[in-house]
Amino acid sequence: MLKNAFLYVTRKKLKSLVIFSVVLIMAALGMISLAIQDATSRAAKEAFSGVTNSFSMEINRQVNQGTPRGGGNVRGTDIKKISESPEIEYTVKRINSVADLVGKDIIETPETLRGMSAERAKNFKRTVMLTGVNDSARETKFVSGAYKLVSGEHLKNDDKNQILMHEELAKKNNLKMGDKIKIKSNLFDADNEKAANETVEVVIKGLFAGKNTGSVTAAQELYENTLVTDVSTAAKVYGNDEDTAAYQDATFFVKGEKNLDQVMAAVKKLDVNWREYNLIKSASNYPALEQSISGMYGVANQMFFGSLIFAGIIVALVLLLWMNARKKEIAILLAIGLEKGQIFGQFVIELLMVSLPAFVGAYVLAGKFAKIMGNDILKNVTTGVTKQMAKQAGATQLGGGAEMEGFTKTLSAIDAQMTINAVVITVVFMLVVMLVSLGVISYRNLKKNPKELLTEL
Amino acid sequence: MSVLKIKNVSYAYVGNRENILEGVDQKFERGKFYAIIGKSGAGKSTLLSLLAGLDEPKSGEILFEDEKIGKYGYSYHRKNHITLVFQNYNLIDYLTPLENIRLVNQEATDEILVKLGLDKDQINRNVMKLSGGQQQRVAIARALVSEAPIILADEPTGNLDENTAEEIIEVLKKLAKERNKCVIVVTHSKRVAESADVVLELKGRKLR
Repeated sequence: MLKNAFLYVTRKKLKSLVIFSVVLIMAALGMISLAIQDATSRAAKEAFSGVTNSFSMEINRQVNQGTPRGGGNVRGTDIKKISESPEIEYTVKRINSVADLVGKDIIETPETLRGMSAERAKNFKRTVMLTGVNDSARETKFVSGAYKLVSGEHLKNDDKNQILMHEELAKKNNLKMGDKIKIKSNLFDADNEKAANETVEVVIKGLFAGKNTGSVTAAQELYENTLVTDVSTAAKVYGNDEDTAAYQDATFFVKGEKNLDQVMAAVKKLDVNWREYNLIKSASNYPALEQSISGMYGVANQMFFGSLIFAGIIVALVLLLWMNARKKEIAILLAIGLEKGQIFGQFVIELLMVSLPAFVGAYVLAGKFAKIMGNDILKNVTTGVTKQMAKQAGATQLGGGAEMEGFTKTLSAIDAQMTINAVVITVVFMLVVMLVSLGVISYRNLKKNPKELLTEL
Repeated sequence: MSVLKIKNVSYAYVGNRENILEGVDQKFERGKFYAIIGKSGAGKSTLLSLLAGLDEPKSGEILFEDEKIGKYGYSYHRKNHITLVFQNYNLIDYLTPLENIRLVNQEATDEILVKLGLDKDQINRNVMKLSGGQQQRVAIARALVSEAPIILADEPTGNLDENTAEEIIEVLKKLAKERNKCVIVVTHSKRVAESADVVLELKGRKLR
C-alpha cells in the first residue's frame, strides 16, 4: 500500500504537482491568516492594556455645556464619591487648564503664525495648555500613544509642582530635566472665571515626544505647547485646589475580578447628579482601534476559511478529474482481492505524501510572507477606518489636538509570526477538508462492485 | 473432487426482468482446461464474473471446495481462490510489469516474465509502453505467480496475433497439467476451444 502510494505520487507527476501547489498555497494562506489573527490579538491586548477594565466619567453635553471654553466641569466631590466605591481600585482624574510661561517662548509654526490675530498674539503669546493629572502614565494621551515619555519619570499621585514638558519646547528654551520654570495664570482665558493671577514654580520631571497628526491652526493645539502637570498645579492657575477644581474627566479602574458593567451599574446608584454626566467604557474611546481590530479579524477569518474551502474544492475537482483512471485501478485491485479499505488507505497515503511536504513548504512560505501580508492587510483595513473616523471626528468637532488621537487611533503595525498553533490548526483543518473531499469522491466508486466498475470502463 | 461448483445459478442484469443465466449447474476440477464458448451476449463473461466473485447471482450458489464463495467475503475468494486474466489485460498503468505481478504475490521475481518472453528492459518499463501482446503476457504472468488454484480468463487471446495466442494457450494448458490448476477460459476462438480438455457451450441461458 505504502509502496504503491509512493509509486503513484512519484509517477503521476502532474497530478501530484497540482495537488502539492494547491495545498502549498492554501496552507500558507491559512497559516498566514492565523498568524495575523494571533498578531492582531497581541496588538489589541497591548493597545487596550489598561483601558479594557475601566470607565470614564465625562460631562453630558446635552444638558451640561461645561466650562465657558467647553471643557469638562466634573466636580471633584463627585469623583471622590465614585473613587471611594469598594469596586474601584484606582482613579485617574484630569484637569485641563491654561497658563502662560514666564520668560519662556512657546513653539510656533507658519500655520499658527498665519492664523494669529494681533489681539491673540498679545493675549496668548506665551500660553500653553496644562493637562493636570494624578498619574500621567494612565493619561489618555500617553495610553493612546499620542505622547511618549522619552526621559524622566511619569507624574505620580503625590507629586506637587511638577511637570512633564515636550522635548521640543524644552529644546527651544534650553531646558532640561530637573530645571525649574514659572507658569502663571492667563487673565484672558475664559475658563479663568475667578480671574486668578497665580504664579507657580514647577520642576521638569520628564520630557515627552509626540507630533500632531491633524492640521493645527492655533499654537496651543500643538502637542509641543502642552505641559502635563500634577493636578494641584493645573487647579491652582484657576485659583482652585484639588477639591474645588473643575475636572475635564476622570477614569476609574475596576478591581480585576469585578464585572465592568455591574460596577458601572452600582456606581450609577451613588448620590451624584447623573443628568450632568455620562459614564463611558474606556474601550469605547478608541472606536477606530476597535474597528481596525475587528476588521483584521474579519479579513483573517475570511482568508482562513476561504483557503480551506478553496483547497477542499480544488482537491475534490482534481481527484474527480483523475477518478476515471482510478476507476479502472479500483476495479483491478478489487478483482485481485484487495479490500476497499486498503484501496482507500492507499489514496489517503498518497494525499498525505503530497500534502506533508506542501505543509512544510507552506510553513516556510508563510514565515516569509506573514509579516508583509499582515501589514499590507492592516494598511488596507486602517485606511478605510481612519477616513471614516476622521469624518466623524470632524462632525464632533474634536479638532486636531491630542484628544482626537484616541478617537482615530488604529493599530499601526502587527508582528505576524508563525506559531506552532497556527501550523497545527491549519494542518488539521486542511487534512480534514481534503480527506472529506477524498472520501466523498472515492465513495462513488468504492461502493460499486468490481463488475459494475469494469462494465463502466 | 470438484474445486468449483455452480448450483442452479440464475442471473439478470440490473433493470432487466429476463434472466441471462437460468438454472446453470456445472462442476470444475483441478488439472483440467475448460473452454466456455457461446455467441456474443450469451452471458459467458457474466458467468465468469460470477465465478470470480466480481458479482453475485440472483439465485443459486457457487461453491469453492463445497463452501460458498462469499463465506469469508468475496475479497477473500478473489485473493485466495481465483486469479483473473482479462481480455483487455487490466494492468495498473503507473507500474512496471514486475510491480504489476507483485500486486498478487510480493515474492514474485522477474523470472516468470523472462520465461514469457519479456526482456530486462521491458520488465522495468512502464507497462503502458509495452505492446498488446507484451501486456497480455504480463497479465498471464500475474495469474501465474498467484497461488490460487483456479485461473479464470476472459478472451485472453482476443487481441493477440495468431503466434502469440498460440503461446498463451500453451502456457494455460501447462498451468492446468503441470501445476494442477483449474483453468476456465471464456473464448470465441475455435483454436482455444480445440485445445481445451472440456468445452462447454452457453446456449439458451444454460451451460451444456
